[in-house]
Amino acid sequence: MVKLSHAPRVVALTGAFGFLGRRLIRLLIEDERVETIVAIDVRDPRELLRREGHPEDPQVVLREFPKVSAHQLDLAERGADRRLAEILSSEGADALCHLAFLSNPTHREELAHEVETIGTMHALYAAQAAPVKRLVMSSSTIAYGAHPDNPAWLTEEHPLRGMEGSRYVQDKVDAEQQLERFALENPGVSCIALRMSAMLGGSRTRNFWTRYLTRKVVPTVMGYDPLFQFLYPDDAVRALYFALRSDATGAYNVAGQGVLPLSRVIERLARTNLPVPATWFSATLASLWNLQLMEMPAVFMQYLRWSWVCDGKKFRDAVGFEVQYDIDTLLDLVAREFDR
Amino acid sequence: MTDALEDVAFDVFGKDPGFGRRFGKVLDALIEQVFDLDIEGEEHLPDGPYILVGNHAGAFPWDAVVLIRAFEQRQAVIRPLLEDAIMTAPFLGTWMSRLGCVRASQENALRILDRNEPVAVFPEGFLGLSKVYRHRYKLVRFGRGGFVRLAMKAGVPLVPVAILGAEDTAPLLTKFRFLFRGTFVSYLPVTPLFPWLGPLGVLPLPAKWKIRILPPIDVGARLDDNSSSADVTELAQSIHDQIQSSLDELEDSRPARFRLLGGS
Repeated sequence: MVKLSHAPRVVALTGAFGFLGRRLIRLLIEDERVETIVAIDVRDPRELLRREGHPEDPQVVLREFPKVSAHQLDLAERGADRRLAEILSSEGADALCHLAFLSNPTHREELAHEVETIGTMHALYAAQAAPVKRLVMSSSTIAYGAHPDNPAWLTEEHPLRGMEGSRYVQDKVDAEQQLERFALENPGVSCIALRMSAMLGGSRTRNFWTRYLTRKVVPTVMGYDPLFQFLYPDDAVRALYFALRSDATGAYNVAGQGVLPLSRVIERLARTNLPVPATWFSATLASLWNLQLMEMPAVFMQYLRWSWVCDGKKFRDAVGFEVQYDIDTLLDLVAREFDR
Repeated sequence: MTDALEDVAFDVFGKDPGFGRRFGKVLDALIEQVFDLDIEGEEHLPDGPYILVGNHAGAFPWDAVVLIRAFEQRQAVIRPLLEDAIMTAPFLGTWMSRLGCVRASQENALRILDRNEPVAVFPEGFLGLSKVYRHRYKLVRFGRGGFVRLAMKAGVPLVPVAILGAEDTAPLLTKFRFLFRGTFVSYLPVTPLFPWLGPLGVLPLPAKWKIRILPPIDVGARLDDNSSSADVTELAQSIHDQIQSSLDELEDSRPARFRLLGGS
């Protein structure tokens, strides 16, 4: 592993009780060098602990989550930047991990836009005002977009082309652009964005791809069979952890190891592949989306049609990160987790 | 390199090693019994990576399929680069990539050559595939000579190859364009069998195939960074002419265009 010049003692997380945040907190608790974890989320931590099956007794919570200092804050609301900066400086945070993003497309597009774009703006202002030394932001490889002329694998050299017609994807692109500008204007804050491959599996969490691929019948686009790569959530969290403790700056792909065509993935998960002609597929998807019966916007069909495989070499070389779950292991695991 | 992307079984370009195992026998029978393929000039193939430059014809890219299998039979690999119209077409694009074809782009080509694997390019591009049967064996223009620049950039030799038989195997009689206005498929090919037999219409006709591999061309010795576009085009043109004259010779020496099964 690359020599770390600044091991953060006080780590703040936005979206702390989300998909990645919850897992990252567990990793940070085990790290002796981390003294305090400042957990910031729009959700009430007590509510979350209840949902996770923890008793409400504060003593038990403290034992379960030592060194966690929780703050409830809506990043999208007015004045959130000032409140976040206050929290960061009063806790003495030296690193901020910005994870307050939606892991799934949603019908509440306005809300999503507020969280992703305005929320990121507020987080960046706060990071500047506090100030923190290290800023880690999670992003997604879907920001590259699924295009027929994508090369066999995308590197960080390729532009984030996004996906016209998907606000969800465009918001991710926008958040990264904000960070890029911020990094240029604030050389004192070392910034890194991690573009995660599609995440699959992880007990009790049913994110977008997991939900899609663990349906009994999985609709695919007839005649197309793009290559997929997947990241197990534990690996994504380890990547964030590595990033927190490294010097690397810029944008990095955190790519799953190994590729398989979508049809093979469905086979491995013991689901039924239902190929649907492209025109019907997009029309059906559009109506289901409009009726709010499906959380997949029509334009997402493109992600089932063209490959958007990424190379994670840059991140591996920069911080010595290796994925622990390759696609074989991961699919075996997910197949067991979601055994019908 | 991107070893981390490679699965134990699956190639990052989409090639399925199981495809060769499953369909190898069928393709072998096709190449040996139906096409009665003759290859000459194998000794011209360099040891390291190179760019095979061939003519392109027939309603379906049988030339790429035959090249891949012929190389596999010799325990070698070749990566044909095919135009977007093929690689983005439903079914066809998927099958071609499972066989080992790759969407043509300088980026993909450089990455393959970087792995020490040779590529095959068809500079006629889609115009080659969309030439109708009455224009058979006549190469169309070679474009802007992108393959020459590719060879310069990668520092690998160009190996011209003449392929005879693709147009007879899947003769393109005419193109139905009217159905596809406004879609990204430019036409529906019409061959003696397609689309009349449905999916079976892609079956090849029993034509006699011949492939002649020509001596490699060291591009570095002919061109350098100061060479003009005109020099690049000129080299591309001379390769075009070499392939054309080989093709003419092959055609003249061919006993009959089509063969009855079992005969020769």
